[in-house]
Amino acid sequence: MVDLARSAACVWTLGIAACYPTPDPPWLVTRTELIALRLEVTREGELSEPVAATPPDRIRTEMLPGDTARIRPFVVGPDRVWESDELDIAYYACFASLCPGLLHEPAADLPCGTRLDPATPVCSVGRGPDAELVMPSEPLELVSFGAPQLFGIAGAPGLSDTDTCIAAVRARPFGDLSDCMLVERTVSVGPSWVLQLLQSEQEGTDTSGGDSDTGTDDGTSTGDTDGGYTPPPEVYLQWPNFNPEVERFTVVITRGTAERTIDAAPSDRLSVRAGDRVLIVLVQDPRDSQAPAVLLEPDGDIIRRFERPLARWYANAPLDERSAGLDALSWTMPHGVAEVRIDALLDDGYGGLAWGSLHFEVDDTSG
Amino acid sequence: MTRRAEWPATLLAGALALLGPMRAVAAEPACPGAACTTIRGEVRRRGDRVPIPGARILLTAEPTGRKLGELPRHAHLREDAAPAWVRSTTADDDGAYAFDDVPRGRARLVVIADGFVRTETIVDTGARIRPVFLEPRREGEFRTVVAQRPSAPTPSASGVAMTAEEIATAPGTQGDPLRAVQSLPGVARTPAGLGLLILRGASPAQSKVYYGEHPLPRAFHTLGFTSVLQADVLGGLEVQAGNFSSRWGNASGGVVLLAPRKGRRDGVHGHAKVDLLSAGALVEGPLGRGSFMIAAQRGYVDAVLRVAERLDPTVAYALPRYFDYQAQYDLTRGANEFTARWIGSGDRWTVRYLDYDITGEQTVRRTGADLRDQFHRGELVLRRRSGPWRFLLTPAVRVDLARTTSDFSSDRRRAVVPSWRAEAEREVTPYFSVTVGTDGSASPYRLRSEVPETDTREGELVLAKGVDAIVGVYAWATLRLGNVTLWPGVRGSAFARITRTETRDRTRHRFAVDPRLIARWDLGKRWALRGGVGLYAQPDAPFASGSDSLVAGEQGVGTARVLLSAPIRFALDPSVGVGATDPTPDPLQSIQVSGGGSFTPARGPSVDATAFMRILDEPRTTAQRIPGGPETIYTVENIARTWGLELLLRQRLGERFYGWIGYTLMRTEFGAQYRGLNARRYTASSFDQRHNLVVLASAELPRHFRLGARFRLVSGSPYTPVVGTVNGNNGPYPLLSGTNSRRFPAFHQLDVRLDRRWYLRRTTVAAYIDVQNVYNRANVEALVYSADYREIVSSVGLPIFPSLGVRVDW
Repeated sequence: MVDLARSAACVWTLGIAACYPTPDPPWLVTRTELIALRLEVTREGELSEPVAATPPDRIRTEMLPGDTARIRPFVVGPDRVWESDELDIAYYACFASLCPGLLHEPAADLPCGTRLDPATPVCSVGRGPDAELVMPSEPLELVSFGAPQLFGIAGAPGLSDTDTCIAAVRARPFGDLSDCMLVERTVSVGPSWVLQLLQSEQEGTDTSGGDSDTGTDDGTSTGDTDGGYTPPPEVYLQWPNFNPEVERFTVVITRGTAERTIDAAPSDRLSVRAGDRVLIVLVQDPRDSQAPAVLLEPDGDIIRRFERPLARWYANAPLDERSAGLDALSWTMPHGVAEVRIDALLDDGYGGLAWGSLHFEVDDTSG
Repeated sequence: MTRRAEWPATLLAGALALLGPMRAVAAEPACPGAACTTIRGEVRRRGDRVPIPGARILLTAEPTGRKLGELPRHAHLREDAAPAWVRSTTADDDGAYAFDDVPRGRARLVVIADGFVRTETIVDTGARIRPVFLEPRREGEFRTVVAQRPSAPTPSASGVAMTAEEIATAPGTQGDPLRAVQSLPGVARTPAGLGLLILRGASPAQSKVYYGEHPLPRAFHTLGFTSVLQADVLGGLEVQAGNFSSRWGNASGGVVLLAPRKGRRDGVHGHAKVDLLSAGALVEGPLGRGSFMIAAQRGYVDAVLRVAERLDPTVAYALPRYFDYQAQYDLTRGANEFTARWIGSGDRWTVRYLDYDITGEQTVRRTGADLRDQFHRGELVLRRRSGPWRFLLTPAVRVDLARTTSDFSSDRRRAVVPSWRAEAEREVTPYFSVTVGTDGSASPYRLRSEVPETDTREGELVLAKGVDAIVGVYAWATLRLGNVTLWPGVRGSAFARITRTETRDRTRHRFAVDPRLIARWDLGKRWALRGGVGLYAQPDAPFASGSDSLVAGEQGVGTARVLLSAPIRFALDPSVGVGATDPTPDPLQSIQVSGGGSFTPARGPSVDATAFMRILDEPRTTAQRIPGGPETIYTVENIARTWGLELLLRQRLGERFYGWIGYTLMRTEFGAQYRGLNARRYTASSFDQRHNLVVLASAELPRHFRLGARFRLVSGSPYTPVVGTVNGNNGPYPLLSGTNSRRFPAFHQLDVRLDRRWYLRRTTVAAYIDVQNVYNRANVEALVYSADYREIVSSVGLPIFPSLGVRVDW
């Protein structure tokens, strides 16, 4: 009768949002999931020569033609976070908005190798922890067709295997992929001023810049010069986009009126009691904001990028009174669970990713 | 014309039996001189005060001391009564009667009429006699159908009609005329009974609804709650699901013909009604030598939802509001008929959400989106008969206003659409007649689309103008060859589209020729065979293939996700047409073939069976560029094909009972093929319903109750299953497997409707309760997924849904 009354009320009021059983929240990890792919440039090509070096404790993520990157997957499960060498993940690259729709093409069997070509809509990057992505060597194609998509697929541990999942995603129509893990991301290409410079050199066009929002008249904006395009000199000093890092957490545990603060590192194990109020703050390195950074539009306009990495939080157990912010998470430790693992995925919004976890051992004897 | 009372033999015998003994003992009253008087009175019907001509009135002596007034049944005269005197007369055409030379004082007035409850009243012959109001015994005695000369006969191979009574009382439809149509074979069940017309599997955009001689620009209000017309303005309704005559065009599916009725001339009448969704009223009556009728209704779902807003302010509600009106004047002078009609409809759909004000401390309710759509149409209808000729001329002009406003953009479209129909029919011989005609419309429109400038983006203003024009010429003949009647016909259509933007003008035009043939073979009085074949073209329209929609196929509902099927998107789509028209009016053209037979016995139910087939060819030209290669033009051919069988078993017993069993067996599928690239694959259409069984009955009960029930058993709707989830750049998105490759469980539902009338002297009050899904079957119309599409959380379907309504007629 409760369902009847609720559903009848829903129809009458069209308040559909309140009408159905609440599903598990998306942050609750109940099965092994391939959440994200992190790109780490391991070898720079010639075109990266004029680009400033990243800090030694940071790994560049945005790529230029000729660069090579390692792919690191972020895989979370109810019991643990998986390492990349434990999983058989197959990677594909495609020049389309959604890769799965192209995998039935025969070209998906061909290795991308050193030539990831927009004329070939899909190709195989590789499989397992040794898979490497090499950006195509023609910058004009990147400018014309945009950045490629990177797609990863694997069988969920204990449920399926990668070959079965590949066969299902390449079938027409798709086969059953419910026991498979699939992820997709756009490959970050840049710095954009390098691409603009290359494009103008190859096309021999004068892309004298448009408006600068710096508001200053110091003669550093792109100007109408003879014979080519001149980027503003500040770009030679800025870092390319790199992955942020999860290095530290501040954990505040409140029990009644007592409060304790812990400075924790990723993978630390902390002891709490059921009923404790826990607050985690992901401590960010100011360098990871990489602000302001200069970007150049294809028409030469200068815009500025302001990064503010944001955290997405996951947990392997239900949390009471959960509240999540940009870089903080708080909740009341539930009864009935022996351990809670919190995973934080830090995303700078421009392709840079990082993650880290904390483990909480829960004393539930008082419950 | 009010139906004249008739005297069945039994009632007359009863009246004579009553009179017999009284005549034997009674004498003429004796009242010399001033003791005599003359009384005059009227006999009228309860509820609407219509005169009852032919009513029998008896005036007898009344020696008892009873009070003046109407007598209860137990006090009526018995057969052995012996009044001192008896006089009798009959009411004239105006329901009036008179008695001369009757004694002054108390007397008993007995009034008897066929189909009405007998009344006996104690009157004072020296005082004014009030009108006597008789209560009808049956519902049919109440409803007055204003007959009118039928418009030009429009043959079809499979037309099914519904009467005004059936429309008003069909269970599960709240008296809505176009929703009542969904109970007929060939018409698909729609999700939650919402307003869609899917005729023989054709997309709603491929069928047309005509009100009188002109098509309605939209048949339903937004969200499909109700039609844009009240049932009370209709004289009848006919569904021609396919193979209709060349008179009707611009539809590759079927047509629904709504016949307007004229206002009554037997006095000023009307009604006011209110139900859970809307309130409406109608007034009609004589006006000079003609009649007028004005009707209007207004929906107030938005008012109900505003209450819900206060209960849960965190939920964003879509507030639909609608109105419609019809005004009409009719005049018949000899062989000429004249009608002036003005109709209109308006919808407004506002989405509101809770937000913080500029201080960030107080919450305010903001409007996220505001959609408005209106049309207003005026038309004149002139009919004339002159010897063997019949002429029709009906010009019309319609004003369309559409506007959408959101935080991000503002779009507005205006159009003034003149349209026309002109016809001439000549009966050359009793066996051969010819009809020629033309119809069409020209719609110049103006479009304004504005994106306001903000701190982070430039503003944008797009102005476009254009003209959409459709011109049709048609002809058909009627050939009577013994028992066989043939209607060969042809329709030629021209579709023109002119689009003007700030940068360029484009003019495109296309033509189509549709030959059609309808035939009927009468095998005696009871049996008939009929069939039809023909081409049916229409201009290309958005959603013609059920593939595009303003409402996204994926909807977020809290933390859950719902994937909506094409029928639901159609029903929920506000369909506010502010967008620029596709510049190329490529016509769609279907081939339709049907054949069937009917048996109409003298007693018992009639049987009708029709087999049909429809193939729709929808070529589209699209361009694709392979990266690094030249642009390549492809032609995609979408083919939709339907075939099936309709059966209708129908029974009617006067106005007391009507019912039918309708069954449709049908398969609708579509296939796409890039010319020369791959083989065509057919999949089930989103409008496919393999089996559709409807059992409907409505019966009049004693004490002015009417009880009706409708049971439906329908194959589950096809849907495209989610087979996996990809964690993408913007969150998880679903991977879908074969289009429409699975079906929901079979649908079955029982709807029950109970009506009750109270006949007061000058008014009639009617109330109804219409309960849909009486046993609360959890039918599935859509699936609710978790946010990551991993889990099916629930399903969406209409639960038990009672609807109440009250109406007062006078």
